[in-house]
Amino acid sequence: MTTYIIRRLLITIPLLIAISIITFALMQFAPGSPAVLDVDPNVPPEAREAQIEAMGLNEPLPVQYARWISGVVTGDFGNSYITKRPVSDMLLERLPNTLILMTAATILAIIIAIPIGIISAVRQYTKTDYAITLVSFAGVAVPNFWIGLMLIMFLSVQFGWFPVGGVQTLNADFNIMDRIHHLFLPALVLATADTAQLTRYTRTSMLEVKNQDYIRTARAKGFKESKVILKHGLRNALLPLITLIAIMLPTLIGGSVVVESVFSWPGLGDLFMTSVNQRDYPVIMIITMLTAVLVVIGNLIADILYAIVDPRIEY
Amino acid sequence: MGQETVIELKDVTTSFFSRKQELTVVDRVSFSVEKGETVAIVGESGSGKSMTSLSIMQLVPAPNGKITNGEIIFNGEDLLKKSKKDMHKVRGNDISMIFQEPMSSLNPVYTIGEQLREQLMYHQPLSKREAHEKGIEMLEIVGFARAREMMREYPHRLSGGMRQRVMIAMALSNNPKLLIADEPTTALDVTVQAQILDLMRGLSKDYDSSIILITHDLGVVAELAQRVVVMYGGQVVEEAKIDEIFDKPLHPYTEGLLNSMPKLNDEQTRLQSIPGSVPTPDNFPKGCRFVTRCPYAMQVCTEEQPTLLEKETGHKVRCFLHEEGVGKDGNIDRRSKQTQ
Amino acid sequence: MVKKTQWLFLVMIFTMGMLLAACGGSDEGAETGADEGTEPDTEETDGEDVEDIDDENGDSAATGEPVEGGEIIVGSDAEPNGLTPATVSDTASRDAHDLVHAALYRQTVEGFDVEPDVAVDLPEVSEDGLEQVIELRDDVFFSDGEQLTADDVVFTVGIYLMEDYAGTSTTLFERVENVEATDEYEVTFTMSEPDAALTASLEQAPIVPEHILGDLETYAEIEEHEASTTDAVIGAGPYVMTDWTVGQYINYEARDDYHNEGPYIQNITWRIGDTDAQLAMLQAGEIDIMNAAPQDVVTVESIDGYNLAEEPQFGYNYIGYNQRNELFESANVRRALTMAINREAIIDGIMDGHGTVAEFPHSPEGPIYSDEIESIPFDQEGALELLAEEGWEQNDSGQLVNGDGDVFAFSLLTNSEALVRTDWIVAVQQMLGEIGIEVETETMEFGAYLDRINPPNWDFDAIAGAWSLSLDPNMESLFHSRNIESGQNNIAYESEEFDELSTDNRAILDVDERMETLQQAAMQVAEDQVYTFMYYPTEFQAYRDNIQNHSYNSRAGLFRVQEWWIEE
Repeated sequence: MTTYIIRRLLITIPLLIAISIITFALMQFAPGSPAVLDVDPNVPPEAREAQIEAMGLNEPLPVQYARWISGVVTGDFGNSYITKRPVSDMLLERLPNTLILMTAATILAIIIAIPIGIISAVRQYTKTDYAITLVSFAGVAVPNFWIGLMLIMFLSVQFGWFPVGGVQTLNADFNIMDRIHHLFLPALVLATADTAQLTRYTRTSMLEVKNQDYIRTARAKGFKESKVILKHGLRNALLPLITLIAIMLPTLIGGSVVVESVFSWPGLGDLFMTSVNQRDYPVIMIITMLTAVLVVIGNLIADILYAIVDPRIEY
Repeated sequence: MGQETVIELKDVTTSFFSRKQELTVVDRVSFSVEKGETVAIVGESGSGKSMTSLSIMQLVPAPNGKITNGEIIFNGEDLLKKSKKDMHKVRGNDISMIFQEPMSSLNPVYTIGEQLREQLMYHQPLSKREAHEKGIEMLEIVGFARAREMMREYPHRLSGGMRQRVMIAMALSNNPKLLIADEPTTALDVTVQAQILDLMRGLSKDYDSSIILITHDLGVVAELAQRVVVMYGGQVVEEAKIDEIFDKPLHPYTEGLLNSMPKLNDEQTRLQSIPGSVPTPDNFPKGCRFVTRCPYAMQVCTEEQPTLLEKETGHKVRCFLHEEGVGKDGNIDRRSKQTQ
Repeated sequence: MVKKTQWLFLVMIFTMGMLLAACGGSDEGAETGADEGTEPDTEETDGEDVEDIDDENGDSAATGEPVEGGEIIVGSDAEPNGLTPATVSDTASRDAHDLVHAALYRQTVEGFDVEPDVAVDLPEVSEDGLEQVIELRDDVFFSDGEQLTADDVVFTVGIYLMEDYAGTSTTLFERVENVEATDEYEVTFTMSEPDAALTASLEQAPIVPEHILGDLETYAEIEEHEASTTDAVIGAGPYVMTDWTVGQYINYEARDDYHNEGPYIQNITWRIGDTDAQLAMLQAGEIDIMNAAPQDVVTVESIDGYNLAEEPQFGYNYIGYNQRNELFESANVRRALTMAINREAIIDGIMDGHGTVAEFPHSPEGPIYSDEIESIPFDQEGALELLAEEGWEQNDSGQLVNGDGDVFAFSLLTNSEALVRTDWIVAVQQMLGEIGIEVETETMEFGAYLDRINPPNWDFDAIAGAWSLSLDPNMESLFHSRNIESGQNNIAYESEEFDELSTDNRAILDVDERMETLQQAAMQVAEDQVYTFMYYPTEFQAYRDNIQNHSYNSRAGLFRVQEWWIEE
């Protein structure tokens, strides 16, 4: 197993290098220059040149890339063009919020989708099943921000059940219930699309498992239907879902860009949005890289988990 | 052989319902099994024998399949009147079942030990440790030399024969009064088949348990069974002691089955297979269900259903050839006025 | 279950319907908003379609005496990029550091003029105008208790003059040759040329503490210092920043040793969230103040407990014609283009009436605006006559062509982030199309847009843009010919008259005389119509109705917040 993981990690290195080159190239070919350079055309050309020089933007691209990537590898992500603060600081103050949001969304998606998917499969072709199918298609189709705005409009503004945004009550001391109260809606919205998708997959997977011989064996052993489904069906049905859940992680980052903006959630997605608007390249590049790394890690985790839960896979 | 009846089926009828129609796959099946006796249910695919066994277990695939009629008397109680909850206590405990496909009948994600233990602990008040020891004992009984190690293995590391032995160990672990074996050897190699049959024969002797053996293979029947129930088209067409079935089969279908069975003593004879195939439930003939394939079919066979009659003591058959009052021309004398 | 699903659907359809209705509603509103936009005195004419507006500079029925205490939560859609004024230029940073810092001069409540803040009085200017001496108050303290002295002022101005200065305010102190502390509370500016705009420049350069930043030798170090980037900022303003949690909020606390009136409100919290989130927070009563976008005015008005203050932006939107393109050489042609565009219809139809037609390169609120400015009417017939004089006639298919048969066609470029502009350039395309001019509209991302229009590319025919103005109405940077090669005169406007009038305006030390000159220069620009001045957009601030003495000014987030108070 350890060898396998090491091998897998080694394989990801060229992948990450390729991603870093693409990220860097995309930034270079994007139209316009960093926003700090174009705020005031009154700045004499010489001063502008001097600033470009100071930022090292005059050097050949390979040199710029090499400097950037060696910084990234050693943990020095450079400074933001806009705030002048170290990018690593900016990431660190926001990363926990995003991780909390993503974890909550993943947990919500799992605890909502899997039972519903199972019910849908167990009651295949009943009205319950049709209703779940309909709602889950809607969940995939309706965009995040719209759901978010609707929830805010009704649950927060009209009924006042939830706060409109933020991670905690302003100027309040840390309080876990308060945090959860603030976390619930954004996590729910972020989880929507994945919940819907996961429900569908759970249903399909469960339907397949339901007709397996070992389910019949379990019934013949006299077990209650719930034990048959939950012990013998579920674990087998979950195997293919593990991959899906791991692959969901990066899509959550994508979703968090929108959700964090809508709910004023100070995470990476929000930072990414701001940075794109301000063309703060050092920040954009690091977040992009971070997303890529998460995708790779997500896949790795999926494979390892798969190996743990499925005894048939050996390394 | 004891005289104590372990299970008795009376007119058990099982149907599948679709929006358009009701298809009867088990049609008024009656037979019984005595203590220590092995009864074989024989028939081709689609004859209803597997459905009969699933009916006993009440594991007919829901929601379309339903037992619509009859009684299954087990231990003096009608299983069909038992609540769902009580049936859970019967299944895997009083009545166990092993299946045709040992490769897929074990859950791939749990160890053999776990699968053995869970069944023991579900039905008996055992601690995990006790269940574990009992599981090892069961594996030893079914012939595993290194039973303790075997407990830790996952099914995919075992051969088909080993898995079927595990299935048998599981099925016997709660000392069931009745074991239903649905084609237990069909999917196995010939040499392994023999081992499994030996095992089952030994177990039925040692434990005096009753077995319902479901098979299409009369060779297996000859090895194990004391009595045979032949099914065709969802109905019992003949029931007799093993010797009588082999020596003087009454039903043309039984005859056909025997002819299609290789015999060691006359290798020269070509095997005869029964022409045609079992009709599907939506396609049953109006009269005798075997009429389309029967070499002796008469006029009456196409019009009316024969009844299951006890021709001799313990030998029942469903065929107009053996009904009284049916003339050689195939017309019914006795009940002609009842027909339209 | 089916019932539940149906219910869900009903809710969805219902809410969608509400959204549509809301959109429809605002369009309707736009139809009725009749605005006499050409009147310079906007505060009265604008009042018609918005009910509960406050007077311009917000002496909003100040009942009773100021009360100390209370707290306000302010919605902000962006986070400050930095807190040292010399290093930042965006509005979020300005609004955030405004509360913390004090400058030598500040904007008056009454108008767009300056008054002393840390300074005792206006500068004493030598006769040749090359020396300006400013006396400082001796009762001004930074929030860490250190006294503000002449050294701090010298240091602050010095930042702008540092060799590696890379901020955006390079022109503020370009005429300052030397600045020194001639006494503990006296600063002497030695100028290379006289500069009448020095006080306005100082208004934009709040004083930062020398005792904190003084050891830093380069601009880059100052930019990165924690006093520039975190809540460790120290200033002499009415509030002290107590906590800046990035991405979430900034807390301020009132100082009790502030050197001017106030502050009365004890705590101010900036809550960071995008405008949609802010609007929801306002509806939920979670914030007390936000700047409302024109399209949200209808929503905001429907919320109980809030007032809406309204102000024309200190800036304008325009179409600029690239003089490098011979199509636009003639002033008559440019005037005809303006005449062919129905600006009032654009304001009413696209902006719900939230704007005023502009005719002039400076704000009606500013000191050089003149009531005599000629308003150019919407008159397509007249436009065609003017164009005919310049050799452009409509052909049989209605196209406007010259003698050589060339069609009058050009592209109109704007940046895609400016949603209102991207809308109205299409309206302009249609209006000019009515007289046979073929306009191709183009929108691009801001960075790419700037690349196209700025030196050395100037790759455009006409641009739709916007300027926000500084207090000092000097427009050299936009229109002087020396700013063509590098600078903001990217349309390459060259006018001897303008150059002459404006070149030495900063040397005119008599304020009235200088304003008159600048007015003439501005009139010249209007006369030449090198821009079609489109409109002054209206800006809105919603605030809770218990806030007293509220004043609103688009140059500040919370204008003179230290003089507001909360009614119990």
